Amino acid sequence: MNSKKNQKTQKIQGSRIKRSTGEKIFDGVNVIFLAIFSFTTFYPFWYVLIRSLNTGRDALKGGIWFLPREFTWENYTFAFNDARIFRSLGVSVFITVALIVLSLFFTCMVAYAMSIKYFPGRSLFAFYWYFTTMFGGGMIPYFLLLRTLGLNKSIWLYIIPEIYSFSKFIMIRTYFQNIPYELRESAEMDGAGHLKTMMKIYMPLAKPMLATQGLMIGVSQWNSWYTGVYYQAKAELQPAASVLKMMMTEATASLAEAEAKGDVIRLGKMVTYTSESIQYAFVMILTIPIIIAYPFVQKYFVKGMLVGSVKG
Amino acid sequence: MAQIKSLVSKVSKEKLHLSDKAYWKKMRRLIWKHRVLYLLLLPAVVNIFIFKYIPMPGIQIAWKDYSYKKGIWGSDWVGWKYFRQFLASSEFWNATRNTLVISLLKLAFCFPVPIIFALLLNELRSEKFKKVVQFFTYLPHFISWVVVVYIMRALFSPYGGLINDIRNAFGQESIFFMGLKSTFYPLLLLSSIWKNVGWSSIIYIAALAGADQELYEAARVDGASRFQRAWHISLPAIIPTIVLLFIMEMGDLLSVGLDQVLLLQQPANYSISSVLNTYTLRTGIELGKFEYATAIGLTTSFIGFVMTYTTNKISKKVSDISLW
Repeated sequence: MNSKKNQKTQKIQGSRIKRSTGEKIFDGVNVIFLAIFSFTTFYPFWYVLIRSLNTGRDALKGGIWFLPREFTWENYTFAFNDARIFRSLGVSVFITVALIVLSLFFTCMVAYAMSIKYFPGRSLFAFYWYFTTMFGGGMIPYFLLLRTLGLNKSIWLYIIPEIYSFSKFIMIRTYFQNIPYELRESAEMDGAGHLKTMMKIYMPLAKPMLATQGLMIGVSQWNSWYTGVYYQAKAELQPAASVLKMMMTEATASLAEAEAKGDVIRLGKMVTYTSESIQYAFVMILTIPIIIAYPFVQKYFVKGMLVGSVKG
Repeated sequence: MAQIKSLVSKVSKEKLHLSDKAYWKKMRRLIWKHRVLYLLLLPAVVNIFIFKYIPMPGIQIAWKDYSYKKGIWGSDWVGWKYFRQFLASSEFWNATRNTLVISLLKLAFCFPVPIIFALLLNELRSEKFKKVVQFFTYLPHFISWVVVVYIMRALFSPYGGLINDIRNAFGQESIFFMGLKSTFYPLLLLSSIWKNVGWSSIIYIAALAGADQELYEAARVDGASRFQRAWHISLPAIIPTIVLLFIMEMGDLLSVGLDQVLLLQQPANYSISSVLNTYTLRTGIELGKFEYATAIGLTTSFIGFVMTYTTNKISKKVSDISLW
């Protein structure tokens, strides 16, 4: 968090008088407890990973705890060859990339304008937007609006209504405001218009902030399933998370039981995968990009959350 | 509110001591000078108007018989019909009860855990280990609830799931955890804690970092034990944060996490898992009773607002801590 302060704390703690036995025991227990706690947060991911890398039929017997028993890639091959899964991943990638690009660009336009200290209507606009964070029409009127606009049958359903977010606007605007005003003035003297100043000076300077915000937008878009399930009328336009949710509803207990008891025959052949094992592979396909991105963004996320909570 | 205050920087007529005519002339000049800025704001004005302002008057369908042909504005008024209807429905009261039970359970079990977690983390002597713990415990926050529920299905599966493996090892029968009524609340609380503990603790950790380090030293010299220091220094340092978050929780009492409950809902546990949010969704979007669902949605958000307001007022009186 605050590394300077932490260093200072450590120094003070280091200079302390010896720890008592009771304190030593407490420290030991605390470390062990938190280590176990961290393990239990991470282990479930590992568990699904090894199950997705094991043949489905064999996994039903249980006992796979740390490593796959019958290693196989077939679950992943089948997941990627499944037309529905593959298309939904395509939808997810498209809407995630498109939203990141459009949302950042349009929010930057607003943030740039609002980072200028005064122009007529500036505070009016701020209120106009802020008001919508407190009051809204709720689920049904919004749904009816989407239907009227025809967005419920379009891929833009996930993008256009999501472009502007008040909290992201505040973060980017605050960053812009800290860019020295002289830069803007000198750009103006060189004959650059507002749009050029924004794209050539402000956006490049705000790269760290834009990267963080972009990743935040990306993660939440990649994870969101609700809009796809309830507002999207065309099944082929559902993103991966929504399709995963639909599969959950479709996968009944009876199917799992049948697969557990008898040999599974699909298209006249006995197979080693189950609908469950393919779904686990699908789950991992959705999770792995986030786990890969996570180490890079974790510290920025934390910073961002704190800025947000202090300001909001 | 602070955001708004910082955004507002007025140049008022009175301040400039200008006559009406001169004022408008100056205004026109200013507006013309900044014309490009308005172009930059224009897409946002339009987008927000369409997706945020247009649905607002849509709440009137709670008092109307909505007809697709006549549209929201043209439909006939029916007064409080749908409000009376849901107040007389046992399903609504069942959902209300479930919502309150889940909210209170979460308040009792999930709310204190991040606080304890932050305090324990604060007691760690190794900064490196602290970072490692934080790294792992923040991760689930970034994972979709759909994925979390799938992970639970894998762990609790009666066909080769880890938990049932362990049960079998102790000679007990496998249980279909995800499909039972009795396991719904425990699983709900457990998954909630698992997903949110690390992330929710951040705000407390930040508050702890802001505690006066000299106090710890002084207490130490005076012979205060580890526990006493945590109790008398660390805890008071985060109490304002705890109260603030508590007030916010009170406002959300009637809106328990839609995602999580919806995904854990099964026919078997429906009688205890149907909450106001999922009930509104089911009646509104799935069954198409738009007026009915809007009436419920309106009522619950109104009560939520009143609750935040009241808790805030009480807290202001008792402890001087308030949201606004």
